[in-house]
Amino acid sequence: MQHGFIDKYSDRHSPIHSLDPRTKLICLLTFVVLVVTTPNRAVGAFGLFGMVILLTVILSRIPLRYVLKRLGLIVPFVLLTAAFLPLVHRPESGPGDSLIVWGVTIDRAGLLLVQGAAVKSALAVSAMIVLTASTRFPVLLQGMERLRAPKVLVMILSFMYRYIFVIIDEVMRMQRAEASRAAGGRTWRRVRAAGTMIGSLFIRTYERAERVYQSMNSRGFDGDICTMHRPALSTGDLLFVVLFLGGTITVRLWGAA
Amino acid sequence: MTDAVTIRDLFYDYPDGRSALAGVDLRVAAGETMGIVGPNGAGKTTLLLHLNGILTGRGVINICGMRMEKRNLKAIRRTVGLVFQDPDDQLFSATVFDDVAFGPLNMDLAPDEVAYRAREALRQVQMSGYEQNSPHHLSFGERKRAAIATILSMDPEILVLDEPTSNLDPRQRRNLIGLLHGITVTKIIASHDLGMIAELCGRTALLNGGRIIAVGETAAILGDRELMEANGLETPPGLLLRCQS
Repeated sequence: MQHGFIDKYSDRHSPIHSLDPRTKLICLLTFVVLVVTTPNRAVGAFGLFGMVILLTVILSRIPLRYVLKRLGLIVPFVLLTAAFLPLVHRPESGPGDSLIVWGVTIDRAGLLLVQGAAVKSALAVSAMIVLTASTRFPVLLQGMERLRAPKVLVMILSFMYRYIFVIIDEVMRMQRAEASRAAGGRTWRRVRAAGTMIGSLFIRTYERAERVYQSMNSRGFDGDICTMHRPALSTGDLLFVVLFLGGTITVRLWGAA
Repeated sequence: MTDAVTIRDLFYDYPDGRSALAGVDLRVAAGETMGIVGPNGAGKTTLLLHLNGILTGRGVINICGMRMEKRNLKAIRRTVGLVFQDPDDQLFSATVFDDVAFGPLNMDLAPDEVAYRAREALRQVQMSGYEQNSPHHLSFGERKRAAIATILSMDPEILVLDEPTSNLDPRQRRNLIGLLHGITVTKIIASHDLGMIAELCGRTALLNGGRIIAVGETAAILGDRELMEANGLETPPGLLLRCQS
């Protein structure tokens, strides 16, 4: 069965693709911290951060439409959680700091917070999209491992990547089997069928986990995850780190001034 | 001939109390290929899971002179390579290479040796060039072969396979039988594919209800129509023709 893979464009070739995964991870983490700590009113700084992302998208040859599409999937969730911020009344704000729309008091400072949350999340998420789209997932995991991310976490992510599609396949097969027999049944009946499906999916997944663990044990797994190490960073990586971090840190300092 | 595997009086109950193995006795000589046949629910997989100590029932199991005990477990798991029926259970890493290297890495081998063994095992199953692929990008037959490579890279003395030919198309099945022919270690193969058992196995054990009903030359066991049908199996047509002529 066909799935959209998160590392769909990772087999292309570009300056961004050929970077070491560690370089990309370090740049991403720094970028996210810089963006999040920039004051909300520094609109110019956010514009420049956006330019940086746009530049990496162009360099990586990932279609801009793909980045925007994925962004559109994630940002609404952030907005949903931020949407209630303007409704919170702040004791420090005076009568002129709020507007009344349809009888609801909206705090101006809160509005700025929502705007900040939207812009910051969009920037951070698009940086992550560029990272995951331009790096093969296993390589990304190797990078995390070599940056000494907790092995258990890396292992969990690796299992997730390996089995998410196996599980989705199982769901699709169950849905087909259900659809072939539910010829226009009542809604309530179908809802009940969906409930049973979720239950049996849980049991199947649980049993699979047991078999996977057995197969790991069969091959001498004793709780320690052993891995192989690979070559060091290139000069291209160093150049990218210096340029990227130099640029973004400057933007951040300028934005705070 | 020395025994690779000796099982005496092996009992095992499922956690819910149902009996899965009810006194299994079996000897597999070093170098031979032993088939295990039996209807669904006979206990074939349960028996195989005992061979490297994944399950532990009551009874005595000896693997190449080592008694199945906690202190021997590590050595036994290096000796017995178990290939699971569903390759999606066997291949759990993000890349084929990582999976094939998993066993050798757990054996504390040097990185060069690990890489060499992984490449060699993939070559043996004709999967060279798939090192960096993710298992979910492979076809079922490819996954099946990669699963076997994950065991071959550990260089086991005893190869245990659970339904190696299930869900393979005739060409892939033929290919796999040829592959197993070329692997000369002691092999234990559990399967419903009686044609494959007839081709690969010198001796066969018939398992039903958690007991070994009969053990003997494969042709004698599979050719005994009454015995086969009494145990929910049937003599493969190819073998019938051979017996009649």
